[in-house]
Amino acid sequence: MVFSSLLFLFRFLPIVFLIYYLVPAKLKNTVLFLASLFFYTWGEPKFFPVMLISIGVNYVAGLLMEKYDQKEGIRRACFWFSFAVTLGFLLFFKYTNFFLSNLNAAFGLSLPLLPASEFHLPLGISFYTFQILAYTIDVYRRKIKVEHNLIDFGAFVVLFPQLIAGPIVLYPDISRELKSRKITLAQVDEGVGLFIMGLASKILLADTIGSLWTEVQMLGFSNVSTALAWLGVLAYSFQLYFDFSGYSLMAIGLGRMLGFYFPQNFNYPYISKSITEFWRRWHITLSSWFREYVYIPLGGNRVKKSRQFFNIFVVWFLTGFWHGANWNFILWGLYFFVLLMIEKTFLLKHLQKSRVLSHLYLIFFVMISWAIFAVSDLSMLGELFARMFSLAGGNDWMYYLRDYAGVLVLSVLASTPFFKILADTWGKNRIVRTVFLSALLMVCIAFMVDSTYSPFLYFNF
Amino acid sequence: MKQILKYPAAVLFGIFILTFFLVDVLNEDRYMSEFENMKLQQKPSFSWSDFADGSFGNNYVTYINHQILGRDNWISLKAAADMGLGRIESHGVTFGGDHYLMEKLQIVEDKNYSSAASTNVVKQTGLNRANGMMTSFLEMYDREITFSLVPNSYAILKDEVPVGFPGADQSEYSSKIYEQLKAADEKLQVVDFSKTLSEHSGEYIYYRTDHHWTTLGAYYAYEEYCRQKGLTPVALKDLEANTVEDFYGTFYSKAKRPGQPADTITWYDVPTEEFAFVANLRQDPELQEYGTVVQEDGLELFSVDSMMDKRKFEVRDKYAAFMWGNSGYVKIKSGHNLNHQDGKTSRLLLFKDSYANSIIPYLTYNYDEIIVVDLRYAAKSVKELMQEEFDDIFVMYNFSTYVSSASDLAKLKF
Repeated sequence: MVFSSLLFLFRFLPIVFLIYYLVPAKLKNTVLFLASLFFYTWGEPKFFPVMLISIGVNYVAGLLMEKYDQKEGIRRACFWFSFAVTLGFLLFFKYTNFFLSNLNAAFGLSLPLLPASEFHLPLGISFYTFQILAYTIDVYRRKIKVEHNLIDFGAFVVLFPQLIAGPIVLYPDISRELKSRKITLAQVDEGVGLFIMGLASKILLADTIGSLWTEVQMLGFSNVSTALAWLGVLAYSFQLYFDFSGYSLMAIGLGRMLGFYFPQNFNYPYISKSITEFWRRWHITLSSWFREYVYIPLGGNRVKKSRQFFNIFVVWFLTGFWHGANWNFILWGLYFFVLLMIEKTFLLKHLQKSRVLSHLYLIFFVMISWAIFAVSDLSMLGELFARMFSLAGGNDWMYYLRDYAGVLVLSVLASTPFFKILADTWGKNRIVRTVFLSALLMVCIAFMVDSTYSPFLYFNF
Repeated sequence: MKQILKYPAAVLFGIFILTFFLVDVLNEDRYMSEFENMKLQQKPSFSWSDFADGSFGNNYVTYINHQILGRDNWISLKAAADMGLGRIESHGVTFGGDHYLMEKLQIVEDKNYSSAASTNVVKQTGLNRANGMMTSFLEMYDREITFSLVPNSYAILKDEVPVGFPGADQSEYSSKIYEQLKAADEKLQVVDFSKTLSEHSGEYIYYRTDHHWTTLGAYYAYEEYCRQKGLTPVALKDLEANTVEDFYGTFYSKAKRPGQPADTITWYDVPTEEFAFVANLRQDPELQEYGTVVQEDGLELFSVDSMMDKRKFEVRDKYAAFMWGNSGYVKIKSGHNLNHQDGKTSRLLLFKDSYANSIIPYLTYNYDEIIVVDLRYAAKSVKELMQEEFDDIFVMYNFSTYVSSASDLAKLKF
C-alpha cells in the first residue's frame, strides 16, 4: 500500500487511527504492529514470511547477545547469523539477477535468472534492512539496550509510516517513544500539516512533472531537441526530489500523528552551493547510516590519507549500489565520490567565493547525476548525453515548456524554503493555515482520483 | 473545546477523513460513468488465491478509486486545477486553439514505449504490422482496391495546433504508407483527402470535443472521392439538414477542459430502400421496437427504416447515432443513385472505422447497394465477401485508428 492512494487515505487511515487513538496506551504498539503488518502485506502477501523471519531472527539474536554477554563466541555467532540472514534477504531479492547476468556476460555462461514476475523487491526492504542492521550492530557493540518486547521490536521494524521509503529511523531515535509517548492535539495538528504538504509534493509536483520526463523518454533521446533533453532531465530532477522528500515528509507527519518524532530526511538540497553541502541536505538519514555503519567502522578519517580515500570510495560505491542493482547506480555513486574528492582537495574553498556560480555548478552536476541515475541502459545514457551536449534544434521544447511552465515555477519555489517561510509567517494564522491545507488536500484528492482515470473510450472507432 | 478551536486542521482532517470514509462505504456503487463514458470497477470478490497473487489488492484499489464519492466532481476539480497551472494537455489530449481538443498521437520506437502509456501512443511495430496486414490483403486479390487514410484534426487544422506540438507527422507517415502499399499492388488507387480538407481548414470540418470529422468534413472528402471515381456527387443543398446541439465527444470524456463549448452535429436525413445490419439485440433489447429481424446474405440482419439511431441524440455518445453505431455487416440499398444505370445494380464494398459513418449517407447517391464492414465486429469472412461482384472496394480508416489496428486489419486475410 502507498500513502498517495485513496485506499490509504479513506480506508486505512481512518480505521487504523480511530482504533489507535481509542485503545489504551499499552495496546497502542500492538495496534501499530498489526496495522503495519497489514500495510506491508497488502498487495504482496507472499513476502509476509520474509518480514516475520527478519523480525524474529534479530529479536532473538538481540536477546541471546544480552544473555551471553560474557561469552564472546556466542555473541559473535548470534550477531553474524542475524546479520547474514537480514542482509541475505536484501542481497537475494535485490541483487541476485544483477550478479547472475554479469556472470553470464563476463564468462559467457547462461545461468538462469530469477523470473522478474516472482522476484521483485519486497516492499521497503532496502530501508527496513538498514534499520534492523543498525539495531543488531548497536546491540553487538553494546551501544544500546536490547529490546525485550517482541511487539515493540516488531513495531519498530515494520512501522508503516517509514516502511516504504524512509526516513531510515534508528532504534535509539524512537526507543523512548516506543515505551511511552504523548499524543497531543498539537502534535496531530502539526502532523496533519506535514502529511498534506508531503502528499502535495508527491501528487501535485512529482507525479505531474514526472510525466514530462516519461514523455521525453518515450520520444527517444535521439529524436528530441537539445533544449527538450535538458528540460526532461530537469523534470526528472524535480520528480525525484519531490517524490522522495514528499514520501519522507508524509512519513514524518504520520509519525507525528502517532506520537513519534522521526528524523528529518531532506533539507532543501537544491539550494546547496557544493556537492558536499548537497549530501548534507539530501537523504540525510541514509548518509548518516553509511557514515555510522560503514565509514567509521572502516576507520573513518582517523587513518592515513590513502586509507581514508579508500574508505570514502567504499561508502560511495555502496551508496550507489544501494540505490539500485545496476551499473548506472554504481557509476552514479562513484561520480559523487570523484566530485566530493575534488571538492575536498581544493574546490570547496573556491566555491565559497561566488554564490551564483557555485549554485549553478551544483545544479549542473546534480542534473548530470540524475541523468545517470535515471537511465539504466548505458547505451541509452550515451544517447542522452550525446543529445544534451550537442546542438540539436527543433521547437518541441516550446510545447512542453508551455505545458509545464506553471508546474516548473511551483517546483522551483518548493525547492527553496519559500513555503516554509510562508508557513512561519502567514501560516501562523490558524484560519489561513487551515484553509490552505484544506484546499491543498482537496486538490490532491482530485489528482489521485484522476490518476487512474484512463477512460475506456470507444476510441478506435 | 478551546483545545479543538486551537487546532482546526487536525480536527477538520479527522472529521473529513472519517465522514468521507463512512459515507463512501455506504454510498451505492455505480455501474457506469456517463461523465467519463466508461464502465466502473465493481467490488472484487475475495479469494485467497487472488489475495496471494496481489490481484485482489489491485482490483480493490481500482474499485475504491472508481466508486469514490463524488468522482465526477473530483475529476472536474482536477481539470480546473490543471487549467490554473496553465496545462495545455490532459490524458493525451491537447488543448488547441479555438477550443479544439486534439489527440496527441505519437508513434514511438518500441524500445522507448512504456506499457503505462495511454492509447495515444503507438509503437512503430504496431504501424508496421498494420501495413503488413494491408499489404497481404492487397496481394491476395487481383482486384482494384481503393484506399484512403483520413487525417485527424491536428494534422489538418494547423493554425489551432500549439507551437512545437509533438504529434506524429501524419502527412509524412501517410505518404510512406501509400508508397509501401502501392509497391505491393500497382493497381491500388489512393484517394488522398488531406488536400481538400486543408483547403477547408477554416470551416467546421472536425468536432472540437470528439475525434471524428463533422459531416461537412466528410462531405469534402466525399466530393474528392467522387471526383477521382468519376461519380456525380450529391449537392449538400439538396439534402435535408438537421442539427443536434450539446455534443461532448470522446476527447472531452478524456480531457474535461473547463469552459469547453459543446459541438453541434449536423446530420442529413437520407432515405434508403433498405438498411439492415448485424445488431446485438441482447445488449440493446429496446432496439426491437425500431425494426424487424430479416434473414439475408446468409446472416441474421436487423432491418430499420432510417440510417440514424436518433435515440443516441438524447445520450452522451451522440456520434453513435450515425449508422446505428458500428456493425460488423451493414447492407444499404439506395433508391436515389445519381449514377444509376438501368438493369445494373452497382455495388460498393467498404471496409471502415467509425469515421466512415459520416460519409456513407452521401455514398448512397452513387451506388445502388453498399456493403459496410467494420472489421472489429466482422460477421462474415472477408474471403467469402471478396467472391462477390463489386464495382468498387474501398478501405477507409482514419490515420489514428489505422496505425493501432493491426489486429483488426488482420481479418482482411481471412
